Amino acid sequence: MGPSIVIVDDHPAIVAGVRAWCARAEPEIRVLASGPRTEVALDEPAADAVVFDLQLTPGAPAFGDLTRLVDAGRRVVVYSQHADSDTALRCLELGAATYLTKAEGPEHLIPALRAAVQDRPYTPPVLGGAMAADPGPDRPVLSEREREVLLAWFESDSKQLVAERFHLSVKTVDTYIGRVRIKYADAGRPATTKAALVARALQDGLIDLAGL
Amino acid sequence: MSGPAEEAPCDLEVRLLRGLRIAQTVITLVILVGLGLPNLLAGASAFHPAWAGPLGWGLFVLVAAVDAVLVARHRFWGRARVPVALGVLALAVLTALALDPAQVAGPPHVGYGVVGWIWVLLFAGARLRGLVVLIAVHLLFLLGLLVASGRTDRITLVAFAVTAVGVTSFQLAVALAGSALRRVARQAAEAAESEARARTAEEVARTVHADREARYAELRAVALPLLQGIGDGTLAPADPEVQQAAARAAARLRRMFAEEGDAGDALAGELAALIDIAERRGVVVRYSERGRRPVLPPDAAGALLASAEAALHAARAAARVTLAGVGGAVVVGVVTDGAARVPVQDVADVGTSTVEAGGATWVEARWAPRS
Repeated sequence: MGPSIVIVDDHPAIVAGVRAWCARAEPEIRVLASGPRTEVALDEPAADAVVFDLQLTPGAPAFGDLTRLVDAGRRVVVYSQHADSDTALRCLELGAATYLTKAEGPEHLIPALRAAVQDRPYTPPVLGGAMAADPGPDRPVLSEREREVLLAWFESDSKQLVAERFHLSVKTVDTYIGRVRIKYADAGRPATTKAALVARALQDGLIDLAGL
Repeated sequence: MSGPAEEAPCDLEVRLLRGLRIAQTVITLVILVGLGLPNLLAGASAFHPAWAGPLGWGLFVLVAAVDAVLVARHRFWGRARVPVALGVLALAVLTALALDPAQVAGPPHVGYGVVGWIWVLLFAGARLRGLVVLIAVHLLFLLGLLVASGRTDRITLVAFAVTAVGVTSFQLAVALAGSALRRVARQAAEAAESEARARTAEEVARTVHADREARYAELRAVALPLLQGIGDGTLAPADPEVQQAAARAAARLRRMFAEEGDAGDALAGELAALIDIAERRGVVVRYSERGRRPVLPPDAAGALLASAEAALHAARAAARVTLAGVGGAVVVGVVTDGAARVPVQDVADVGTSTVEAGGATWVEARWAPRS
């Protein structure tokens, strides 16, 4: 049986769209519940992941609700109309599994959900761009190569093009992108979701203990 | 003494306290000149050495005068407060020690009542603990002097207590008034600030709402005719042209939903114009921007745009356009499903690269100033 999710979004068109993408996914992703309030996700502990709209009410992004979900041990895939870098990185800092803008469609949302369910990193291009352009002094330190690969991923939305440009294999490109995500998981506020991500990355050999 | 973590007085506080400070300064100077000076002149012989009294008086006047200058300049004693207050205490102790023990707390005792006022001046705009401690220490010291010189008769002690309590309570009352004024000022400043915050939030909400309205209007113009046509059967979903139109509308809607942008500027605006042209040709364009960007020299901006234009021109059905600022560099990337021919440009600090894979062409132009 495929993974199951809950959709928290106040926009019926978005809920309908995500439901359709999940139904068409192979294997299917089951949508257990959906609604405009965070309680929908808190009341459905069996769901493997939560698609979370950051803009539930007009005004400030719902960082508090995101924190509540993360503290309840939920794997949260933020699906937001905010496209600015600070919002994206703030969500990671709070313990979201990954962050997609609503300009990113099923080609990234479905893989992001699958990765989240397995506690594996998934960095869609726009999030990769945010990490590459992130100058914050308290942020993880990226190597020059990691930054270039992330920027290329942001620009091209194609791991094949990135691999071609830097004469790497697609798998190595994946490793670079995944490693940066783990660096971000290892920084800031602790959360069980972050710990799971790091533990899984160790198991998968994406990072080693010396790299932490 | 006042703690180091003491908050700096707010602007309103300075203005409100000013009237009170002027009054305090006048009181102090009147006491020093009108009361202290005649008494000192009459009783200068009570000091050993004789110049100790006038010197002490002069230094007290000096401190009061410096304070008057600070008041005029809307400033407070700040870090100098504690050292000067301690210096005044030392001065008060020394003049009292130089005084004939029989005259302690008597008319020639310069500083007896006035040091308290000087400390009130010094502690304007600060917490009062230090003031209270200094006054208490000073009075206890004088009491000690009286006892040491054997002046423990009831009349002397009662007279001392009456003047000490009388003068000190005046001083503390004025200082407390200042403290109350500060509290009022701070609350008023906070209220004004929170009102300003609320007004800003309202303004932001209004702008966001207007922006959203504008986008919904565009949505109605772009998507509604298409949806209506499909709904009433005049447009066939299988028709490639209808599909193209739908894809274009979808791309526009996505851009609208995404509220793009870390920083809108001229380069982003020009790029949007290029995207618009491509969309008119039926190309579905996805656009993202990231990072903070410096302002480019015009020729560099022109080179980046020329490269993006050439790449977009080659697009057949789909393109991805990105604009990024990374570590001082500005990067424009265009990925298309066509074979782009990028013009060779010789512009300082601008480099371009083209990568092809799996039927996609990625053209990147990067401005990276060497410095």
